[in-house]
Amino acid sequence: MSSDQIINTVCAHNCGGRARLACTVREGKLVRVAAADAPDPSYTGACVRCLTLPQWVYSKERIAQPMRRTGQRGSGQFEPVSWDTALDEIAARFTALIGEHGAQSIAFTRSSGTSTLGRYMRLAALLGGGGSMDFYGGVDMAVHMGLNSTFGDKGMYGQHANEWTDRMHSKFILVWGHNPAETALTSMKFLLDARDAGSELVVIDPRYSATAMHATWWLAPRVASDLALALGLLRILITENLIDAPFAMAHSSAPLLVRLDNGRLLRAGDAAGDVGARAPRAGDADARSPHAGTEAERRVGPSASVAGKDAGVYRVWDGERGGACAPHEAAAATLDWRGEVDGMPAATVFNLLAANVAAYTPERVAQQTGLKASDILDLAHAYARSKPAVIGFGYGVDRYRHGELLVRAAAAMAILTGNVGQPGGGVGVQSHGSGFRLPRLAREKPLPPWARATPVPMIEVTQRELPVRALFCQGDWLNQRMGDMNKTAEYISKLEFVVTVDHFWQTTTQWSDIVLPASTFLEGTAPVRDAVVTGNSVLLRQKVIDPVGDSRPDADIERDLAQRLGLGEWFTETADEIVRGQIDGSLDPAFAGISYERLVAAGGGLRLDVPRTPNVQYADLRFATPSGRAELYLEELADIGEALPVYVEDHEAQRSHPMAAEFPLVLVQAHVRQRAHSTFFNTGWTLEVWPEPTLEMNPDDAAARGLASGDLGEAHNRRGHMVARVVCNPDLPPGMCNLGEGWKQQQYISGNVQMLTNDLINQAQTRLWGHSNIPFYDTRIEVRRANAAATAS
Amino acid sequence: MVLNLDRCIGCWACAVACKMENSIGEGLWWQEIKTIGGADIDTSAGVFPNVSKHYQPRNCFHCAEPPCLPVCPTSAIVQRADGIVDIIYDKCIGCGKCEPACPYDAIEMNQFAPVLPTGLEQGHGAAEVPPRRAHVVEKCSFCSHRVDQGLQPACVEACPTQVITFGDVDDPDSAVARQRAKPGAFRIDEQSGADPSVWFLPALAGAKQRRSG
Repeated sequence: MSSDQIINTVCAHNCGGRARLACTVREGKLVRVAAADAPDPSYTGACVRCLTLPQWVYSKERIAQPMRRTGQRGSGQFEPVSWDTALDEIAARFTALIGEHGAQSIAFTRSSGTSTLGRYMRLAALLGGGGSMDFYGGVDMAVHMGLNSTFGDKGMYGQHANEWTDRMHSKFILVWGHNPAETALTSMKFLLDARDAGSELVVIDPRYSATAMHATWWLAPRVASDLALALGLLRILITENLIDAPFAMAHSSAPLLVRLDNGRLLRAGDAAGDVGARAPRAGDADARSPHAGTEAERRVGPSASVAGKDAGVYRVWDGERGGACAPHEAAAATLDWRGEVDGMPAATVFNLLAANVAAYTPERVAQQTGLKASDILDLAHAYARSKPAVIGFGYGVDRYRHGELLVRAAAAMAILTGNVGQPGGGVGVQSHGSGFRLPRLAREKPLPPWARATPVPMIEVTQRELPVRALFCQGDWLNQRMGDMNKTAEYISKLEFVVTVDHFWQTTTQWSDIVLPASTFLEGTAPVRDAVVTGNSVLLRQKVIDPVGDSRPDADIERDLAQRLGLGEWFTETADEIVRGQIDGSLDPAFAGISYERLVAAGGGLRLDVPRTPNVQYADLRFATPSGRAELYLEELADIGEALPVYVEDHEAQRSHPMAAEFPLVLVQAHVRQRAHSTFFNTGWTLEVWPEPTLEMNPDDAAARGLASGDLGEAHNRRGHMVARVVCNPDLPPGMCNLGEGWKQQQYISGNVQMLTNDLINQAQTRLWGHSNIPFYDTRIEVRRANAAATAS
Repeated sequence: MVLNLDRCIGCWACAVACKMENSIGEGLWWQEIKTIGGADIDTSAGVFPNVSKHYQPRNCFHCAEPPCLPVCPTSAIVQRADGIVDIIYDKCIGCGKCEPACPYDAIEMNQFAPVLPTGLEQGHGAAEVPPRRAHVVEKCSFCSHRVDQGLQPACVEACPTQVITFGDVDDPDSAVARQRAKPGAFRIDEQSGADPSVWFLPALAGAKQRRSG
């Protein structure tokens, strides 16, 4: 129809898919959403979640106008107020708190469900002239910790896997703890295409997931036993010499020496005398320092300057000359060596790694994982012999206590077999949007140096003394960002002042004093909301419709609040002005020929000037680690025994855990196709298909408790309880239960899955990376038939 | 239309796109995704780890000999020259005779006036699709309004794993004809005599796959 207008934009949800969307607007309303052509056609596609956007935008749960609490906190009683009243009150309360207790009495936190993840960070940094508290992280971090430490720090969610389109070059694709058929739906085609072209598609998952059902080989180790499997695979690779020794020698820390007295890497000066540099040889001219880099290469990221800064400090054992020296000085470094360097006991990282995995015989790993020893051997052989091979993780493995150790062990498999930096190879998180070249937009106008919020890891918020008296939440913090919800509710109930900004009424809004309605990413007051670099392209997130109800975009709310707090000078630009600066100001060569005007004229999407071949991470085999090598050994963790990946059986999910007798079932929250976390909890079309939370149980576990599909089951442990309808599903092994992540409080019959979850802090993670992941899946429960009392509360 | 079940992930993008495109009311679906496995949606049959499950999207098969057509007393069901079986809603009197005549359970009755989502009560999706009222039947139209514009049906466009191929199966050079010629291509309840225009390629991965657990 001629009155229809189609506007392209980019989805904004935390599956990370960043689908380019064609939005049909009719008489001011969003009536249709479909995939728009992406500038790189490989990435054209939208998933079922985005297709429900028209319902999401006009959902009856939308917060229509600013609201102020009238009843007890948590009672859900509110009165409508004007924007001026709401913002004036927030500003007055914040000003009073800052005056009396300082800016750190106010904390900001964000969830990904609202329009733009980074909003309110500037305000948080500027507040009170010194910055407030910033509650951050807690999920999806452990796997990145392991990868960042191994390959160099790329930031909290930095990408280490090759681009999705590179799967066509993989002979062997190992999908580990990842279910892209539900979580990264528009990327699943790359796996299916590779499988249909003849690649092995191997899925490791304790549950027969929608991805596992498409695999050529599905392995189901016992829940939370993956690390034992990885160590067992490493042992087979090492003992059967299925490794690429020259690669490991040249590009990893495998040949570096470790002091056996303190577990630190041996450095120049630690021992009396090095054998020094060898005599030059023909061909040395080609062997320039692998870490020097060109100016252009050094500009790729802030951490690149770390790369190899200490390369010459570390020592290897020169077997030819019988002494220690710097790696580049060695005539013939020895990979597997243990002995004394001038009387100091030392061994190579490789030697320690081999010793570390020696106990993980196929038979022992079989006992730990429930897999057959012959299958474990076959898997190691297939991985090593089907080059190139890729290992792609999701965030399933991330939600157990030692996610970083598993990923470090798998990274060691990739490094030792020479599968890093190769087309078709690699190891990393392969969630949505991973692996692209990511040229940088220019930064927003920088803040003064004093403006900095104090970061507080999310998991520590309720477990540590903090000066916080007020909380500003973007999104549903209570339901989505914390384990052990009863503890979190107690925390929030004691705060003096809580503000939540979101699109919808949800759990945290119920606990708030002021609730502000944010516009969705489809609604705007400026023609453009922000710019997104994804899929080898730059895309504009264009305004599709006017704000719904009395909602306002987050950027406007942040500006209006800042003005009331005397910080308006930092928020003078409109959203489209900021985006124009980010694009026109980018010095990245990939933006050659791209301007804001051209981008607008092109309908909001242009391909970047990047190569048309799939991005291969670390193709130059340079790593932003101190040694410049892929790091198998983290000396900072030597004193707690985690310098190498070890299998520590202190997961709540382990069979050996003290809770196992009383609470024999492990409860995970697999992420589901119809939601990105809790976003889309309220879209009617998918609710018709999946109407309520269901507690999936192995049929034998259910029968043993007198439960059948359709019965109400009460899951409980010492932390809390939840009532949900039971579904018997043999896709789950005995001992494992699942409740799809992201239901909201109002959708449960009673309780909430987060009332059951674990918030145990991982000290090793905290020490080395500054924060700990929340082990949501390390959750033990028992299930019983729900009685009337259980369903009432 | 040929649906390659070996690539279907059961995401319902096709069905939701259909529902949006055709302004289908609450409770009605022109396309649904059957779980071929356990009794409940998304569950397998069997005993862990020897389980079996695959997905099968189902819509109107636009039969060459549509059993629904001759039973309609008002000629509200028509077969176009391109084979699409369409319903003229203005002619439908809601007698319901076509529903049991369909061997494939593809036709649904509007017991009530369609209930559309909050804020979109005036309809959503394509403006060309005529609104329905209480007591008319409806079903998949192969998005005839889109076909007339040279576009693919909404389900085809929406599928993120390229399960569905649509076109003129009588054209031997078409992608859909090539898909239909693949080994194992089958139709549901072939002996119904209706000569359906929807073929499936079998879900092979699960049956062939190695399992270790």
